[in-house]
Amino acid sequence: MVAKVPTPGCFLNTMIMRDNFKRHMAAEAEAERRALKYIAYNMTVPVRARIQAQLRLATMPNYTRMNQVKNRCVVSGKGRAVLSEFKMSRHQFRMAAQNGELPGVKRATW
Amino acid sequence: MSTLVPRPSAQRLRQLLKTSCEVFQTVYNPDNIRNGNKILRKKLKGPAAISYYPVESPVKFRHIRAAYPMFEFPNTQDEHRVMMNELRKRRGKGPPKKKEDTGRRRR
Repeated sequence: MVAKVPTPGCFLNTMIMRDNFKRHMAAEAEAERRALKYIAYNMTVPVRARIQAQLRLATMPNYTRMNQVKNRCVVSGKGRAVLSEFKMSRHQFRMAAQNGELPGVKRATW
Repeated sequence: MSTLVPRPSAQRLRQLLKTSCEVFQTVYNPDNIRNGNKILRKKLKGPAAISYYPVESPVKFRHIRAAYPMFEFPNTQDEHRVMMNELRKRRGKGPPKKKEDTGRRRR
């Protein structure tokens, strides 16, 4: 990873660093990727340009793809069972909620 | 009643559509050719993706400690770590002793 990317201020581990890097790289390349995709999909553009755009898109590094970005738990770094509203995995969410650290979150009863 | 008024020709209807698009500032594409506009229409999600992880604070614990030397700021996390290490050592689970390297090499 040659490009310098700001370090996150939450819990740090390798996976979070990698995901953070991917986010920055994907955001940087997003406009270019969008333009290439547009060229590739546009039927009014000559075929050669469309093929070239598609090839270019395929050869772009994987860390520029928005698909590879994964929401991770900000407290534990877990990649699964992450609630996007709280940016926490289910266990961390449960601990924080029961400690009263999450405003407006209480046990569901109805 | 509809039989009395002739239906306008396809060309006339196209002209109407074209003028209508000019008036309402919409894209004129009567043959529904795929021009990729739907890809340009979507919003970019780069900024939202970057803002997921919080920004690192430029002020760290050591800076506060250095800025206010008269106050005592207990580093609870480090104290906890040291305490756990001491307990492990007591149980005999500390780091193993380093073997002295005499420099002997096997042939």
